Amino acid sequence: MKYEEIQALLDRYWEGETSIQEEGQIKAYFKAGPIDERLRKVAPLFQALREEQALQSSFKAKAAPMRPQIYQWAAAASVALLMVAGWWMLRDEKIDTPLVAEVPTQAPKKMEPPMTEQSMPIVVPEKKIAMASTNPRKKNLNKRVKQVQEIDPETAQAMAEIKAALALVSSKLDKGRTQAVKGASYLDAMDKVPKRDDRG
Amino acid sequence: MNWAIFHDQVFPIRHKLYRFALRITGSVHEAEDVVQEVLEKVWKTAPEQSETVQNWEAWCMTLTRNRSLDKTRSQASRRTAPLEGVAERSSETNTPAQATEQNDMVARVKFMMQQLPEKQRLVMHLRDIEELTYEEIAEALDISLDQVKVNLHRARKAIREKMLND
Repeated sequence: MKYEEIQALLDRYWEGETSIQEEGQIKAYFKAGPIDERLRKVAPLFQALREEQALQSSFKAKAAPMRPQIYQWAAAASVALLMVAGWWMLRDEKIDTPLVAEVPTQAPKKMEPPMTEQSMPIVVPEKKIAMASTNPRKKNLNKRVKQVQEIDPETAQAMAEIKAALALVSSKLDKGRTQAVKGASYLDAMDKVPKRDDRG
Repeated sequence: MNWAIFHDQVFPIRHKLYRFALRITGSVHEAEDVVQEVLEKVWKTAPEQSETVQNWEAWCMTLTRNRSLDKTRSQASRRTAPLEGVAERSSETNTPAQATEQNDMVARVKFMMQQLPEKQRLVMHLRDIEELTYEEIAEALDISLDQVKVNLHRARKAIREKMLND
C-alpha cells in the first residue's frame, strides 16, 4: 500500500471514521512492513494492539461442563446395572417357585397325621390343580400367586429389606449426581491455582 | 444452559473475556478469576433465562464488565498498579538498539492506553483489540452509539498526541 493511501486511512482512523475492514488494512500494513519512515512514530500503537490481541487466558479447554456429561452416563450405567440385577433376582425366584409349591399338592394325600405347622402352605383347591395341569405356564403362575399369598414372615422381611435397600440406592443416585456436579466446579477452581502460578 | 451453545458460543470467547477483564482490573489474577466466575455463571443459567439471551457474546461481555468493575471497586488500592506483565514481551526486531527502543515505545503505548479514562479505555479496547462493531460495544458497555463514537475518537486522539509528542 502506498504512503498516501495508508495516510488517508490513518487520518480517518484518528477521527474514528474507519470501518472494521479499513482498520484491518491499517493493521495489516503495519504488520507486514516495510513501514514508511514518516509513519514510524505511530507504528508502536499497532504493534501494541497486535500483542494485546494475542493475550490468552490460561483457562484450559478441559472445560468443567464436560464433567456433568460423564456423570450423566455414569448415572445411566448405574440404573442399567440395577435393572439387570433386579431381573437376575426375579429370575432366581422364578426357578425356585415350583420346588416350594410342589410340596403341598402331594403332602395331604400321603401324610397320615394332620400337619401342625401353620406356616406350611397346604391348601390348594382342586379346580386350580386341574387347570394348572392343562397349561404349564398357568400352573407356574398359580403357584407363584399362591406363594406370594402364603409367604413366610422371614422371607417377607427379607424382601422388605431388599426393597428398602434398593429405594435407598435409588434416592442416593440422584443426590450423588447433584453433588458430583457441584464437586466438579470445586475441582476446577482448585485446578486453577497452580496454573495461575505458571503465568507468574 | 444448553451444552451446544456453551461449547460453540461461550467457551471460544474466553480469551476475549479475559483480555476485557484484564483491561478493566489491570491484574492477570483477577482477570482469570473473572473469566472463571463468568463462565460458571453462564453455565448455571436457568433454561428460561437462557432462552431470552439473543447474543451470548454481548451478554458475556456485560457480565465480564460488571464482575470486573465489582472486583476493581472492592480492591480499589490495587488500581494504581499498571498492567502486569504486558511490557516484557519481545517483538520483531532489527538491531538490538532499535529493538530496545521499539519495545520501549510499545510498552509506553500500552501504558498510555491503560491510563485513559475508563470509558475511552474500554471502548478503544473493544474496537481496536476485539474488533467489535459500534453496536456491540454499545451493548456490552450499556452506553449509546454516540457515546461509543465520541469515546473512541477521544481515546485515539489522546494516544496519537502523546505518541507524536513523545
